Amino acid sequence: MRSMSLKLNRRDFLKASAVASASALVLGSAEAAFADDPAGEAPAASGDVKVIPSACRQCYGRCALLGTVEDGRLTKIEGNPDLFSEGTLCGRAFAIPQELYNPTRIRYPQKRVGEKGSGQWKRITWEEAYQEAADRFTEIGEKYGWHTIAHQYGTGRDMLQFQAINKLWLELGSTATFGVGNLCWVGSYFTSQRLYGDETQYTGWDGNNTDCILIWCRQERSRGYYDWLTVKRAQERGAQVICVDPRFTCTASKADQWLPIRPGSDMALVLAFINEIMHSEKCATDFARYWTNAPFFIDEKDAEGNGTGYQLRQSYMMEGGNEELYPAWDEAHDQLIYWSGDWQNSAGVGGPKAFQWLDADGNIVADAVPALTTPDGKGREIMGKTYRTAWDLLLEHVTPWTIERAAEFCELEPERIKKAIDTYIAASPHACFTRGQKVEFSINTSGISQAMTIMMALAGNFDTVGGQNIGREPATGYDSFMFDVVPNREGRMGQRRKETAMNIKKLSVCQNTGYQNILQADDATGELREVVQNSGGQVIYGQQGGFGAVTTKAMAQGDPFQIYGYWQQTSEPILSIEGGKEIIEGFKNLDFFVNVDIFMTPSGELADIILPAAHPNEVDRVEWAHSGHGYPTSHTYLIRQPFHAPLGEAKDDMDICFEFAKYMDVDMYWKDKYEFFDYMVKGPETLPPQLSCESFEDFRNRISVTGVQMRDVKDAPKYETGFMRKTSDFRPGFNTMYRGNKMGSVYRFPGTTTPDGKVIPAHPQSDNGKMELWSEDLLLYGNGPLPMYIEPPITKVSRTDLLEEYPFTLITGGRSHAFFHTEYRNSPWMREVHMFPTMDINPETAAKLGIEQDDWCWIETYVDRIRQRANLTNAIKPDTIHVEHDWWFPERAATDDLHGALDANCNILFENNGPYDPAVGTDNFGGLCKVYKAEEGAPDNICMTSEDLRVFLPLTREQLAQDTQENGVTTVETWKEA
Amino acid sequence: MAVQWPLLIFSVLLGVSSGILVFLGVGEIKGVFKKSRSVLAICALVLLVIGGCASAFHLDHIDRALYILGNPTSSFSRELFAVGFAAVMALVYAILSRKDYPKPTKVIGILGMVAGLVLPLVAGTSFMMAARPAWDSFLMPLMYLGTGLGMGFAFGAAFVAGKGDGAETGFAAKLALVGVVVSAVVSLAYVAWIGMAPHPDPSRSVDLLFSGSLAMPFWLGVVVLGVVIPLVLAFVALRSAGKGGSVAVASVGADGTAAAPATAGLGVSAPLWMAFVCLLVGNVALRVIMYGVATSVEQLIYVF
Amino acid sequence: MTRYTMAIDLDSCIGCHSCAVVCKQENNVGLGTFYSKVLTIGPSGNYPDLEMYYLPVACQHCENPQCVSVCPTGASYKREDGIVLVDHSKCVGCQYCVMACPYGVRTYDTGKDKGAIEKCTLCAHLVDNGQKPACVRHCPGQARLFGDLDDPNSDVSKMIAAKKTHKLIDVGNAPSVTFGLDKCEWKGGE
Repeated sequence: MRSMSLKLNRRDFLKASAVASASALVLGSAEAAFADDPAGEAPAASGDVKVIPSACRQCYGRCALLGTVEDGRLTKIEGNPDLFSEGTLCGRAFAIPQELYNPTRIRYPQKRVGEKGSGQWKRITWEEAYQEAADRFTEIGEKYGWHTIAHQYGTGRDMLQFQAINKLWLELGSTATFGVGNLCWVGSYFTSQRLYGDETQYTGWDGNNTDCILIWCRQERSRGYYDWLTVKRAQERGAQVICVDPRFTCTASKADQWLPIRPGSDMALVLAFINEIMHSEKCATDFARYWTNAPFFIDEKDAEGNGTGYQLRQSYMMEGGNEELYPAWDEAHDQLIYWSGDWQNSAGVGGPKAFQWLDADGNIVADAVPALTTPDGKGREIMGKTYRTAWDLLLEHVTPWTIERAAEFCELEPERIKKAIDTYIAASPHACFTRGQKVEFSINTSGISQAMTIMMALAGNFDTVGGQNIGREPATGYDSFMFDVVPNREGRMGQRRKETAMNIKKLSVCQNTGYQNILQADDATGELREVVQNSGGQVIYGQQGGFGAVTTKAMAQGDPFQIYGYWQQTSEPILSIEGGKEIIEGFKNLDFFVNVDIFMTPSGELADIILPAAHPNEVDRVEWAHSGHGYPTSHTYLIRQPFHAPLGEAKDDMDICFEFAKYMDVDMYWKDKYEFFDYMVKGPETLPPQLSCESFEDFRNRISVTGVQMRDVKDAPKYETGFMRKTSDFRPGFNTMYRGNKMGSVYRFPGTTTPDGKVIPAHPQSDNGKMELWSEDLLLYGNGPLPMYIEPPITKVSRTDLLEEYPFTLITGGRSHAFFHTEYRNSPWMREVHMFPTMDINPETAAKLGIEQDDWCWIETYVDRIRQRANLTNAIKPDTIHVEHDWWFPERAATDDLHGALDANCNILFENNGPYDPAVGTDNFGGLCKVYKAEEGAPDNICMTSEDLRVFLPLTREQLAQDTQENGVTTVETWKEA
Repeated sequence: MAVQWPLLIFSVLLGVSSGILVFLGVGEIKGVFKKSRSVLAICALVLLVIGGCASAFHLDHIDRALYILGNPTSSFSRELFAVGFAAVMALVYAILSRKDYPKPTKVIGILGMVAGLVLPLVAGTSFMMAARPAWDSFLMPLMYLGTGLGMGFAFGAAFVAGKGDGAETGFAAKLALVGVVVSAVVSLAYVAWIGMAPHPDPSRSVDLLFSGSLAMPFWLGVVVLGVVIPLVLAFVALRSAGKGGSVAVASVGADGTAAAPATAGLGVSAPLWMAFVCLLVGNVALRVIMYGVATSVEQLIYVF
Repeated sequence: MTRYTMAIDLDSCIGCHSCAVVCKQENNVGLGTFYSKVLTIGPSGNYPDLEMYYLPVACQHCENPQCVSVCPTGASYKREDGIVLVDHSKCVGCQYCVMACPYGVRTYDTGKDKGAIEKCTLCAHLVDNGQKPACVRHCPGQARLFGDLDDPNSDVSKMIAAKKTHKLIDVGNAPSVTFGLDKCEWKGGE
């Protein structure tokens, strides 16, 4: 029999009191107002009970909640019925107290005193920690260059601290990150930004008014569960819900139609959607004509290499032509017209002529009807050369992607596809679309995101009632991006950052990436053929930084250069990025590594210094839902304020960045987080007064602010107001400096006049102010201008050679209702409802393999193997296996495989040698595997019963007060009874 | 359901007690077993007390026993009343039978017999729960009663035979055979019920008995030790009683003092003791099965 | 008369286990014990035409609760308003109620000081204050409804009127909790 218990390290009561007030750099903090009892550690006293409204940060949903705090200790979590989450809360919210008072929580700065991974730590002061970090990082920066220090921020905690971490380290000249974006969301975000300047794929769907919701690989119960209320109410109103997912998920079970798509084949299905839409009477040709670049001629490159391959400009057609003029054919007047993209008035056709159709003489043609197509789609001869339009090329590209071909690629019944497409088209323009992150785990993230954009656009669903709604504005104050935008706009960018940006090609870990072989489908025949992609290096999220695999290579192999220093905050790459074992190697190579976190984690054990981060419910933030949503969710800011001051000496992540910036002499621009919060909640001058807060304290009193919908403000779809234009710039090496000009000075109201009569000029738009269906940018990023079908590198189609040994398709990362990525494995309640890493396997397959329900099994790829527990379910096809992601076992010791980071962690099953998405660096997290029963059963030393989970029960006030972590954080010691 | 050992022990011992009380009641009607009756009544009482104590181990909060009759209509309470009644009858009978109060002794003896018939029925009835189909039949109390008669009669007859009262031995052996036959019938009838119970489910199917996880207690315990061997032994005992004492038996009614050969007594009592022990084991096995198949209609959160 | 109970709209339940967890907070339920749990029923059917629903289970607050009739001490009792409760101070731990419950939703929680029968209380302490049970209040799918069966305007009565309804197997105990399920076939016994 096995049992376990937490072994508390030795404590020193006298020392504890001596260092209790030793933190010198205390920032002005309104948090103190909520911290009558510092840290919830004081003995119970006055019977003081407060109910504090705040927000949940246990996933992206940001549900509104109320915390009951008794004598400074959080005793109860309840839903706040007054906001978008309607008082509902998922189980994870109730784990907050278990996190706050968790025995494995870091409450005091620690310095490693043993070998890396030995779990031997000694408490130090903040001054010692900061000073050592400053000295060591400076030494590395000066000796090897500042680009040899990597930094990392993950999904943990929130968006505002991303900004602080990012700013601190970009100013310091750091470039490499493991990325968070290249794992999720950013592929879609980036692509949407490039194509039309905003984001609509995860968010921005108007479920409140829709007739059809197309849900692509997304779980109702992964994050922001209130989205399900929207979906369910839509269904009750009669809306059809279509679910595309290889697994029969909760969403699939609630949907009216389910398309069990072959993993990784999504592009074929989207292309079939686009094909059917383009050939349907309901195709939004007017939208395409007036709001996209579909009528633009394309200067195709011919076999001899003539032609630029870009959108045609007047300058390509004639000597002295204008490069801001994009030609098209005007059907109304049978003449050549030009679209002026000269919003900056740099080419002489700006001002009133910008974003207008002009005739050859430069006069505005107000009633121009730009032709989508050319005679027979074969091209139109202009000045001796024949050009086709973007529409022609798109139509030619998608036409071979019939339902039948998609059925073959996706292993779906053609009737099922047809029904789904017909439903979506029939409901358009009141059909909306939302997706999960899984489509992101591919080497074609930006391509698929482009295809989905085209699908939504040509079905006519952009900015319609019940369709896709763009962005939050006009809602509340400024976006979090302003944290960096404002100082840059004010010219307060540091010299080192500028120099780094200018020399990024030499300083980026991505400098050698982007040349890769992929398996692409030939449009005409549908056959897969090997082609070479060439992006010249990925650029992640507009950052020169890097992504998981390349930063891993730099740390572990010194390719393209050795990384020596590393600052990590809110992240756990060993668990969440492919090639975890190599990441461990990389971390062991580092000269100096600072980790800022709430708990001891696998990678934290390899750090030199650990700084204790406050829990999200111990800090002040402006918060907003990061999940799905229509109005009002999409238009609401709410307060996240502390239930009490951070435990022990833990500090807010943002404060840590501000404090360390002082040690490093970095100009953060903002005095502290509150100065930015004040700016943020006040918002621009154009914000209606009732939506603007005097200050953060005013916002605190208001608890939340909900904006109004665009259709109520402008009485027009947003694209007609000029919002749907691409606005920010993500060019390599350039973007970091000027990123986010979309939030620039004018808050995106082109032509707005402020109350005092000041006219805000037309908003800086994109290259040409059109939504790009045929994308010049994606061409430059290596994808090609049109979304291509790319077979993932390890599937039963692309690697038939592996099939004999690894016969099953392996998919990973389906979301769990109990966890959020790597989080909550140390919450007794969350673990109790989901005790073990679980592999889904079809009962038929299991029977053949002699696997029974709850058997522990090995899942093995050609790279590595892991163990998870079998769940026999018809929700998955017989040839497919699904395993959960980000599993570790905090109950195991540091010396026990870094808290069990390698036993069940599915990301070690995949190699990290590319190919990657050429634009954003996303990788492939699926493949082929074999499965067999693990005769040895469960991994050693893990919690097997509810009883075992007692080790994670919250510490009492007394225990917290006594455990001063002089010799490190409590670790779990396991033993077997003789 | 896991085997509830305290309850199991209690149910087996109360069966023996009840059987003895019925055995004595029959004897009282017939006017026999006068030498043995007091000791047997004490045995019944002692077994009942031991069983009762065992069952108390089932209660974690005996400190709250004060409330125990808070719901007098509950099966548990009825069982307690029945046990109390049987115990008092056994005690009074044991005392009276030592003295010479023939009439009251007979009355109490017959009341004791009634207690011996009622107690297993009451105890068995308390397990008739609609929630557990394998228990929810009148065959359950009949099984309690019948197996009790088997064990009690075998015990009583063995004791009587051991006393060497040849004239009574034959009658006692006959009773023992009757008891063993009844026990066999009700045991198998209860097993048949397991197969017939509503809401069939693999967790309570007869397959578990025939070839599944309960095959050992069923075949070896119930069939061999609980039915076959006791039947054979009871028959052997009766035969051996017949050889040495058929006349004596016939004349028992006359004077009740006719002595049978000592060898006949041993030849009768030994197989009957053995039969009793086999029955005891067989009944334990039968109750192990009874708990083993006692899954509830829907085990949604807990398996008990 | 008042007959408080729950109605659960299975078409709305997403199987998130929030009810199981919030219950632990509200009722101080120990590790290893659940008043409420969520089962996954299915997927069943012929691939790819599958059906699946989640079944949240807890005490059914029966009209004719067997747990009450077998309890020797009266510790298990049914209130006038229909809520079935356990008075821990009277419980001797005989576990007859555990045996008598057809659903396996009661347990003897030895892990706790009180050492007594534990089960869903329908948050009677909240109901007595005019509030809803914690799981009902927080259910992310708003699938859990609470109210008076005898009040036609209660959430419970309204769901029963609006949907195809089912109950767990009734073996004479007359469970009061109603499940609404329109979207797929009910797999439980009636």
